[in-house]
Amino acid sequence: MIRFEGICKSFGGARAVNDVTLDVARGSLCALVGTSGSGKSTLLRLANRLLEADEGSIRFDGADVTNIPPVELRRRMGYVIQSVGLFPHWTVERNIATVPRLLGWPSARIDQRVAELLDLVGLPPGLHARRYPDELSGGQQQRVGVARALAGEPELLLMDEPFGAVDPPTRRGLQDSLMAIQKRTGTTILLVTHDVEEAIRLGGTLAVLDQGRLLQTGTPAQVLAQPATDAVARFFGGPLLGLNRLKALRVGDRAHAGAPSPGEGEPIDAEATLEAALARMVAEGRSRLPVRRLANGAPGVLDLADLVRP
Amino acid sequence: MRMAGRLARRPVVWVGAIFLALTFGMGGLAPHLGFLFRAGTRLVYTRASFPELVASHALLTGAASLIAIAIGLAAALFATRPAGRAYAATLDRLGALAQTFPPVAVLALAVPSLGYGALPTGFALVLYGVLPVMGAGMAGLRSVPAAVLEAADGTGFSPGTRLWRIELPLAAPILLAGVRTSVTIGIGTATIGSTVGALTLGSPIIDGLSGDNPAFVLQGTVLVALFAVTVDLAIGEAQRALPQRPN
Repeated sequence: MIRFEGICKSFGGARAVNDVTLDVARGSLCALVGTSGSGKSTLLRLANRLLEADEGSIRFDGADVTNIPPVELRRRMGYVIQSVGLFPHWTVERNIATVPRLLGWPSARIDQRVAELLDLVGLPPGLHARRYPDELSGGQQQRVGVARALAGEPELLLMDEPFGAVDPPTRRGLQDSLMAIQKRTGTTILLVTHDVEEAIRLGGTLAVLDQGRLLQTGTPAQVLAQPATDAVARFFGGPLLGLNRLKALRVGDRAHAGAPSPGEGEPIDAEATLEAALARMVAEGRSRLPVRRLANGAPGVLDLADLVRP
Repeated sequence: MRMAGRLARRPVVWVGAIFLALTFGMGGLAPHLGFLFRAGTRLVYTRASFPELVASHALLTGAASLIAIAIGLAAALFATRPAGRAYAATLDRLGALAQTFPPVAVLALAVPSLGYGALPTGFALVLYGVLPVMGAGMAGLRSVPAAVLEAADGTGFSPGTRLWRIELPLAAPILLAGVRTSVTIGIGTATIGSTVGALTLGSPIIDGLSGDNPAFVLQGTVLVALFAVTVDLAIGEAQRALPQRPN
């Protein structure tokens, strides 16, 4: 869907992005992760030409982005930022309708799309459509921000630390909504985050950046099992990296077949993270949990020893 | 009926009504004001009728204000675009400098090149009117949050559409406050134009001062003050009519 090739970008002599090559497949979610100053936001802003690359090329759906006028390009990509940036003088409805109006859709289609999106992001239309942004909570504002970004049916959604400004429970709710939305719409998502938990939780491809260089790409499980460099290991927790690895793996990845014996407690879901399983073992004082259903449909068990198996 | 009642309570309506009544009634009222002044004072101003003075005064300040608003807004737009941002400080200083010349001096200096009458007066009014509009325009445009601008760019607004749909509506309350200051100052300052022969409500004031006639001074002053207050209140009404967002 979008491919960065040999991208370099400097600001006043300092290299913000240094020779990055990255391919984001159609329908996938790619999380650009790294500490501040790693160049992840710069890379994102190069995609929709809010910035222009010094070297290298970016291909969007096969076409070089420098051949697409910026305004047209941005209407084909959704854009969500941490500070949301809703237009304060417009209602929720009008904010969401921004891109469809710019694209000149007929008003019946716009109304239908707005209603669809309010539902998609989990805001009841009757309650929120006519409100102004300052009447919404931070989490609700970002839901509207996501709806606005998706309104023009973009092929690619760019998100710059979209959930960084909301409290943790709200953030998890928004992350769940985002995963559900992607499942339903199949939109390709390129997302910037410095939050390790978020990067692991969203579960797409990770692209780890440090000082402008792309250090490693892979699934959370791959990256956490074999961090390519010390910097990657440090970013994912240093000495605590092992704990984060438990967040990236599911019970089903490690459980083995076996009949649970009575008195082993409530069975755990195969889709639960190993972190959740460990938490239950600690809380309940057990070293074994029954597993509800493995991939083959049979019941299984998870031993404490399974967690530390290489 | 009730709506009319509510309308009548708005200050702009009754101040405006007094202004209009005095504009047309001053000619009839003046002969009865003898008790206020020394015996023998001429009470009726005859060089022009008061409606004529008001019309001329309004035309002069209206035209000058429109030009000042256009120039001030253009300068504010230029100073807040990427290409002009480097000149913002210079424009600020230039505007402030223009305000430091005393109006009478500007008139005196303008007369040799522009002649007598409305032209040098209009020139001085424009010079004084630009700064409040420019300052408020810059402040208003700069008050638009950076996140809103980034979101506008990121969602694919062209620079012109962004200005028209996002920046100007959000800057409007502050901008209008600048226009209000500019226009009210202009109405007051225009009176000085009568020293170089412009026909304004300053004419009876200047003639009264030079001819030692307090009746003319009073008549001109009351009308200018009512004129300025009426316009000030009217622009205030326009400000209230703007959507109240963001609050």
